[in-house]
Amino acid sequence: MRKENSIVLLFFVLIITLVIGTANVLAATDSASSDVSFCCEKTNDGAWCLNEPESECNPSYNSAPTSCETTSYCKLGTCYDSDEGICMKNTAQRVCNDNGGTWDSREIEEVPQCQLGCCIVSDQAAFVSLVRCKKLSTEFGVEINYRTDINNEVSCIAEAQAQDVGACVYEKDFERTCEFTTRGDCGAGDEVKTVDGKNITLSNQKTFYKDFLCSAEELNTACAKQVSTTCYQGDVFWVDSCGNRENVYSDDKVRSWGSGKVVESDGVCNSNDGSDVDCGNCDYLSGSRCSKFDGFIGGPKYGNNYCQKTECVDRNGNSRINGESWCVNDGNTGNGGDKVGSRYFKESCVDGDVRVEPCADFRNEVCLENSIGDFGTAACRVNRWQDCIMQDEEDNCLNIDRRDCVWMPAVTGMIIGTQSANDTTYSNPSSTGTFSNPTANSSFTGNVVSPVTGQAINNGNEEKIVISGVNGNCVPNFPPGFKFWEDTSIQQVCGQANAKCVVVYEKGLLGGLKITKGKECMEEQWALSANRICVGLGDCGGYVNYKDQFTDDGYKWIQNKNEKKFTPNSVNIISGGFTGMIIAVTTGKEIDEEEIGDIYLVE
Amino acid sequence: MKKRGQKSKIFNYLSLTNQTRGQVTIFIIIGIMIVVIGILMYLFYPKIQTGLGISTDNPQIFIQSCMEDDVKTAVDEISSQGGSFNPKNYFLYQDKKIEYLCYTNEYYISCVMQQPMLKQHIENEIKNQIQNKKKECFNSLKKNFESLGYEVVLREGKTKVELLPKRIEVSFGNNLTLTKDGSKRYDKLSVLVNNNLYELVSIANSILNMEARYGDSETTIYMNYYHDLKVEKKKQTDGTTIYILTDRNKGNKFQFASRSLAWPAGYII
Repeated sequence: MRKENSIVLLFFVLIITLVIGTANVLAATDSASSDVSFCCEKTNDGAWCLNEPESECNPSYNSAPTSCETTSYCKLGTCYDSDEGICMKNTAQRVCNDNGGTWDSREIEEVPQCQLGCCIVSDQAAFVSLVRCKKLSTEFGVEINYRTDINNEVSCIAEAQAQDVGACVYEKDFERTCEFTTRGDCGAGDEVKTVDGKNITLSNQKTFYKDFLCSAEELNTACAKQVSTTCYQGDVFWVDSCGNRENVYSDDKVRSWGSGKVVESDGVCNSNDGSDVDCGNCDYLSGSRCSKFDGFIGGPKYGNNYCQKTECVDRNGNSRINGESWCVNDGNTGNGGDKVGSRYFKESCVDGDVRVEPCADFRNEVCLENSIGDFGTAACRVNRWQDCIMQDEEDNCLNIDRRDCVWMPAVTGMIIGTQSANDTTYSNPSSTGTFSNPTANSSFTGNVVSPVTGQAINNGNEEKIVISGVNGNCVPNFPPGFKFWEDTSIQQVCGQANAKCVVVYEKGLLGGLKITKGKECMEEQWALSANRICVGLGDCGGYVNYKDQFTDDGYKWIQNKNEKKFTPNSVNIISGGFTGMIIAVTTGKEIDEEEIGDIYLVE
Repeated sequence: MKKRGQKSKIFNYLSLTNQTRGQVTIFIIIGIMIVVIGILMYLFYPKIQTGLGISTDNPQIFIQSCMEDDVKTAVDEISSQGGSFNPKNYFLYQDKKIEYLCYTNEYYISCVMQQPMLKQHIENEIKNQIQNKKKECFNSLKKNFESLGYEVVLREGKTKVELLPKRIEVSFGNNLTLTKDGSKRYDKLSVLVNNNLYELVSIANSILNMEARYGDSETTIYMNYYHDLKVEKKKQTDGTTIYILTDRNKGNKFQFASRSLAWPAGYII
């Protein structure tokens, strides 16, 4: 009986073990499958073609455990809107078709319907597709004028400006009226008939007088000259009593009217940078554009439109012309010394306002500027820092066509990029857990206090003096920013620049020790040099943040078991914009006749 | 006695003068009130008309007055959220859900277009948003004309929203027949809203194509071409870019989000 009971008990234990084991395996399988990335044609959040865990995929749409690039349903092509004549790049087939578009697997440049040409709509131009041109022409009620021989936008705009303009005169309600427009829009003289063997153009009750204003006396229309002013294409123009645009505004009415003929803007008054309220020849690039005058005193003599100054004043108090752009940053830039939390910005002057455009965060973009004469231009562009630490030759490091790096002098005991990132013999030098997200706390000062552990130091007696690189180290010219408050891998990154400097002593015959090798390891300059490289790697080391606050918990400098800090003088130098400090930890075990100094890099 | 009589005359004179003055004051006050009411009527005529229940015998004006504000509100709301009334895939920017119109959740790759037919999508969103108001207004219209003695026959029709240059047109295919001393039929009633959303959406499409191609866009060029346009570009920490397009003259705004060719922070281990 006992034996039977034992067998039953054993059986139950076996069953339970199996059940638990199976459950664990299933759970593990579930967990593993949830980690597998699926290509969701549509996610539960409504986004199209994303690589997500299967649970995020909308079950009504396709999904497969592979990357979207390899699936047919998320193959990207061009979506063509046949109503509007608009083409959109990088579109999946279903999202296009479901919305009434026509999908083409080819690139936008290869789709015939997406080829661009010059569409002239009245005196305006647009560089668009043929269908788009038809749509625009219909909407503005003009005949289509599409030029495929013009293949760039600038020429297209120039073509529109070269259109014949003049007075389009016709009878309306027993009154001889007029419209100032282009020859094409007027539509005069469309009908051609042959009478007695001669071609005669019949007036379709409209006559086009090139370069005439509607108020010209010769035309004898009901339109009276210079009744009010209006803004048109950035300039101020006179307007006649029929609402037609005339020549550019000037308080010299006679000159502006030009005896009823079209006069070029420069023929009315000189290009106006905004200093003359009675000249409507505004110059956008010089810093003025047409605007309504809101004040009471000092306005234009006639009408209420004038050339308003659009110049700006930058942060340094310098005047900037309209359209000009320039770079702004939070502190040191380049040479491996960008401050923690700093960012690049592009600012531009647009119609009197300074527009701030931040470049990508974490210094993934930098701002570069140039100038054409006095006219400054700036742009954010990608910071190519990624492969700097892999370069061991100065020429490759400084190849500005390929990367943005800077070459720094070699530091005794430091080998960047070859140390084991997983070695965690050293504990986090700042493991007090005080990290915080700088964006979540306005009082955060931006210093980097990240846990950086360094390479373990061997306990044996085989320490050798090593020098980083042959002649130096390659680090980013614009060090990247780190998300140190949430990314734990930063410790390993900064740890790449740990340094270990061995000092060798020799016992004298009469006692006492004499340094035979590594004397420099005992000096602060060595730690500062190592720290400079640490800072060059990114938000590592002992350095200042964008608010110019220095923090010293980004490095650990241990000399013969004693932790040391930079002297106040060195800190002052660093805080004042020293470009490139190191966070270093000098640790080590006391070895007979040897002393080790280590520096650990911390963010 | 004589003196008393004189005094009485003077008193009566003074009393009469005061009476006249009072009347003049009242007339002036009434005059001012009439002028103020007149100005108010001139400025807010359509609103006062419907607000006070003043009827009109023109169904087109009635519908325009009844729906215009709601259409404007719907357009403003949709425009500020990337073209959708309830964005699902969005970036929260200043407590506003802004829909991604081009999006990738990964690093180093270009975005996938999420709303390739943006104009049509916005038109549909506006249409859906005003359906309830449409029913309400057409019911009011019917009651209004019945109260004016008309026989009203109203047949439901389709609603069409069109973004057009410088305006938005909402047209109702409701078939309306009004009969009173003759019959008048309306096949289409519409609401026109003065808005430059069409132009802003065209610019947005152009920016989105640049985002899909280059992972970024150059916005200054748009402002150089279109002087009344303001393009703001706000790059966010996660690689998202918020675009705010504003028409300087009318103040119309369209804002949307894009995430393309994003870079992670620091080194990838």
